[in-house]
Amino acid sequence: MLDINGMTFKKDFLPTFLFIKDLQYFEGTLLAEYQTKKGETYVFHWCDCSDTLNRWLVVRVSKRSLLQFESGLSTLHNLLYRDNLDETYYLLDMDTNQEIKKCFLVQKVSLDIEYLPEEDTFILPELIFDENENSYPILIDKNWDTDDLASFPRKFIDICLLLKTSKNDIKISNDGKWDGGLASQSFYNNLRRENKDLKIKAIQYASPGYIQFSIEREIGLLVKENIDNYIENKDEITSTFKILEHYISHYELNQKESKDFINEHKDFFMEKGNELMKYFSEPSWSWIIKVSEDEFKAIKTAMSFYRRILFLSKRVLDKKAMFARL
Amino acid sequence: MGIKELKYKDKINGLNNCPSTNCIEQNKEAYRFIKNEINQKSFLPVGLENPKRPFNKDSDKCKAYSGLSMFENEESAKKLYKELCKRNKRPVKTLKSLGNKLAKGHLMPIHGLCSPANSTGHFTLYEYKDNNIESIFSIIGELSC
Repeated sequence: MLDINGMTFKKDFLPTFLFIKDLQYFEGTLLAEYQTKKGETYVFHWCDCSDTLNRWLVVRVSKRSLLQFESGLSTLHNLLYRDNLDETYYLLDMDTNQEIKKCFLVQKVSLDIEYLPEEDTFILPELIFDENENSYPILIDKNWDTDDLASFPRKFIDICLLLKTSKNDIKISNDGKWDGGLASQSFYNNLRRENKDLKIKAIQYASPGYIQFSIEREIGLLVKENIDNYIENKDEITSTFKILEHYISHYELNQKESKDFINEHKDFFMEKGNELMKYFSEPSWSWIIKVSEDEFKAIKTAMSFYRRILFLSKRVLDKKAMFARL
Repeated sequence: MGIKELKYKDKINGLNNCPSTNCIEQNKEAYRFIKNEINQKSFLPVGLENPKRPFNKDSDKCKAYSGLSMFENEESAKKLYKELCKRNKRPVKTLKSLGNKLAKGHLMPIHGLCSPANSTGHFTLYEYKDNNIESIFSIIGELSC
């Protein structure tokens, strides 16, 4: 192992580190998150080894910079070197039983560059062997008003619920009368009642801050994909939506008491529904049609999906929200 | 034919779902990181080597104490090795861990149970008892960072 240009000290002076999770793993931990009793976040980076010891670079970081790294929005080098909170590092030599044998305190400027990763190293999904990953973070920035901050997680959860339902091919119960936004809200409330485990896990409102959701990572990433789809094709998508909005308003379809009108407009709904949804990864228009009671309810589901994606996309375009990409 | 026994069965007593029920016997090519030359030590589960790094979950312990890390193809193995070099430079370069050579072999059902490969082609072999797995592998090249 390399000689250390630093000060040795007794392990009794170290804070108590509580293991939180492995961040990168291959034949053992490569990078792990720990927390102290005071709630400080540390990462342990495997940086050297001998025949008997492993050496760990122990770095205090903010929860947000860790989430940035975990989300693929910042590199490992940034996490350990640019965004770390102290001017010193711990280097800990641990034996095969994970017992600390030697502790060093090293000035940031004295740390051997060999102990740091290359600058372009992002988190590697292949090295995350957590089959039960059910957390998705969104980083928040700039100024948010209270209404916005309250609506944002709700709309994100609505989209997640719809995508989860579509992925699992579950029939949706939108049997209420569609009457503007109110019925669409009750539709999502129904979905929420059926998926109580999907909720906010942690939130730090301070800007820059973050919101963490209890949701399968895969679903969170699908929301991000749909936002990216919208941003890429926003003119075409918006134009179709406006045509639909105008059409429904012109024929006063939201105010109709019976379903008799549907047959007359069916072909239009089918054409425009397909046009609106074709840019999004999921849900597909054919799935919406399959699980909806009729073409009008299907078009309203597609439109409610669009409105929520639009809301989230605007915050992304304003650089107020950053969605995890990995 | 009797029930096949895992080579490191006694190391994984008490671990839940170990190996996982989706591990099956397979007939396929396999690639593995090797240190310098092929011998019995090259095919020891990483949990039986020193110094060990932490294995925090039961599923990690299962792999570490009874499984062997393998890849389905050469490209995946080399690609992951390069990525590890960029992240954990010293441990990979000093050869105290992981290895510096790539070996290739052909696994058959008699050799053990294979976990499903992940998106990069990595899988774990849970070797059966009375196997000389090292005899079916040969070094095909150097691993470089």
